[in-house]
Amino acid sequence: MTAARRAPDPVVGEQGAAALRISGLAKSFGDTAAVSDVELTVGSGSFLGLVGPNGAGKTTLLSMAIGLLRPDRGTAFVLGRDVWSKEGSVTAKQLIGALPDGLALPQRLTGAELLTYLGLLRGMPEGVVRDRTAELLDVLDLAHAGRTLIADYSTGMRKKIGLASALLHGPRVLVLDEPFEAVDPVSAAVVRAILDGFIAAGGTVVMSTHVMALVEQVCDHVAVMARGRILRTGTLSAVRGGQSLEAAFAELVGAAPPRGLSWFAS
Amino acid sequence: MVRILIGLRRTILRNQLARSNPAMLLVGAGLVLLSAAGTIWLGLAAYPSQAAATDVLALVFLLWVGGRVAQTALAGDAVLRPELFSLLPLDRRRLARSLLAVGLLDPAGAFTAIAFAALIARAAGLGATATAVAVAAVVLSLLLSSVLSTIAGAVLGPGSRRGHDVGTIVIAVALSVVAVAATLLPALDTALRRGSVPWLADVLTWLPTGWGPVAVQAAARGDWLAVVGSLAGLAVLTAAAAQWWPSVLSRRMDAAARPAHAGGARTGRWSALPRTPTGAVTAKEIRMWVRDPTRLTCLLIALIVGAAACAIPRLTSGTYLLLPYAGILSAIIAGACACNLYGSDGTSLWLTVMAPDSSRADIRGRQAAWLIVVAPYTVAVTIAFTALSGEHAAWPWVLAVLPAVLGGAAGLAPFSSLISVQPPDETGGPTPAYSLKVHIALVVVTLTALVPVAVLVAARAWHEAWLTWGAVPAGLATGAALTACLGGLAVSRLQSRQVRLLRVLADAER
Repeated sequence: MTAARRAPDPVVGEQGAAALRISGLAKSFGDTAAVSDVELTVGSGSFLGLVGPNGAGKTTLLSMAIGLLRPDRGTAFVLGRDVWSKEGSVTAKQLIGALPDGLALPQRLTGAELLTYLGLLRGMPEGVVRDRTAELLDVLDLAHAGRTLIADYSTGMRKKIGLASALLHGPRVLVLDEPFEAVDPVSAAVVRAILDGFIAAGGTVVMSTHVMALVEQVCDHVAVMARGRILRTGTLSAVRGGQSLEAAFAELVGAAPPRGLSWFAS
Repeated sequence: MVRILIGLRRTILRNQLARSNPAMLLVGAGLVLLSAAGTIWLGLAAYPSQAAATDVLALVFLLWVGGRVAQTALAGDAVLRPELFSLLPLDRRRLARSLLAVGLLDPAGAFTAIAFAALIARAAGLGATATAVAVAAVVLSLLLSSVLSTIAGAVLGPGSRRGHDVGTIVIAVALSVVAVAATLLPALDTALRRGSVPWLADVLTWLPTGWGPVAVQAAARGDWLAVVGSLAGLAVLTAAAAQWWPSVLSRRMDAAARPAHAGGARTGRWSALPRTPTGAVTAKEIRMWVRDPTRLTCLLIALIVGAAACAIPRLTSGTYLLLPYAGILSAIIAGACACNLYGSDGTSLWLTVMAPDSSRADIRGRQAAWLIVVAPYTVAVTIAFTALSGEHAAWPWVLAVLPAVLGGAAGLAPFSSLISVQPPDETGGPTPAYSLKVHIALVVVTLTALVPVAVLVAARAWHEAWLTWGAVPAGLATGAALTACLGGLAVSRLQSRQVRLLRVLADAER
């Protein structure tokens, strides 16, 4: 669980070895530039935490990187396959496991029905789908939810079934938007164990979050994003530079020191 | 507290109105006002007998109370939701009384009051005592409808999604039955005046909505026991409902805090469907048709309206002429129900976008699911009703038109779902634009019957018996071609536009 373990050197610039390479991605909504010509490379086998304040453009960036939001400019490569080219996108989408934030799952399916549907939709053999569905539900402690529809799941359960959907087809690169949000501590430990196993097996994880402590615990690389730009990227120790990540982050994004409420003092 | 609650409701309604289409609202309010005025006219009209007048007024009272209760139950959820108050330190009984009072001052009550004035208009011609009885009956009926609609709004509460869905479906189906009865009002009116459907007249006067008109009729003939009995019945029923209300409210407010119920284990049942991408989409879509209240309600309305519109002429005019076409009408309406599949599924489209090369499976699976859900029922009803009606000349017509409509609707379903996608509103219900799309789809689906109908008309014009039966293969071929070709167009449209479509749906949910 330590951050410095097994961290390979970042393979910035080497396209062949990069698990995810974001190349000049840009997106504006009206006059607001949500993401401005971002360049980012994530080496194979690394666990990158993408951190930034609310509205920094993290979700927009990740949506474009996995093919869910068409960029104004630029593209992204997953293990060398162009996500936005006709030929590359099919292979790229087989290699990606995605947990987007703010997009729905079919509300009136149970967890088991959702995973079975997704596995067969991706053309996986029935036996494999059945076995993996049972194991994922069991490991993520969702098996007891039985006939409960996803509409009746708690927020944490939805994150877990979303993670199960992302893992089901055996991807090589996981792109997770706020995977630990509203997940209880026991489940969070399970999710971390799953992600550790995924990295150990040669996989790559890109995770966006607001929680700096979490990044310090699980990630080996960090990218700090604000106002649509990547401000700094590198290994965890390089980005935080001897202080806590939270302090380094506040310094980078130029946050004002926090204040209390005036009437508490009187 | 009543004043604060009314102020709160006004603010919420104002915010809701600000986001809706003013023209649509004006048209809606105008139509309701027109119906209310039309009801008064029914009170002034001449009737062959006192009993006929009572029956007709009992029918319109039922329609108004039913319509109002259903409307509050469907929309009430979004205005003064009891959960808003569950954390406030309020006395529950006082809150219950206040919410009842707010319900009395509901704008819908004003429309109902105008409509109920029909009974007073009717009684005015029967003397002063009858008029006084009518006024009392109208006041009591208004109170009862108001209490019932307040209760209905709260019964449809949160808790498990399944429970909520069932509530929505029951009320929407009740509403559609009321709507069918309202559309057929002229036919029913004629039947009641003639006294040709005695059982309906009995049902209408036995229901509490009929007690007001019954009391007025009794007053006119001096039967004071019946007057007092009817009015006391209304009063007791209203008091009982008001007495029940605090416990309904309490249960609803506590339900919000209760976690969702988890049932026994049930993993995917895939039985007869192939374990392929298309089979997976088909199984998922069949579940959506059964579980999504908007979709299931639409299918049930297709079933009710299709059967009722073709069976009621038999009840009222004694003709079997339309009976063979009940299945076709149901198929057309069910086809229109499927005109907005991507809109009703919302942003879960991202799963299709992320699954490589899944567009074909998605379209073909949706087509197969619609056919599996709709075709067996419509085919069975068509065969059974045509045989039952004895209209043998209808056989080539129904056998030619039904496959064309089924195939045409299966083709149009995914294709129209990809045009002008209408996301649901905040509560997951249909928006006015969605309703408009369904109405347009009704017309377009009907047009898929053009080819076999043209063959049938030609056969009749040229008196060629063999050509009449030639319409059947023409209908089958039309249906197959439309399913294949429109489905193919939908596949390429989905492939090229899925990311843009996802963006539209995501923006709507924001």
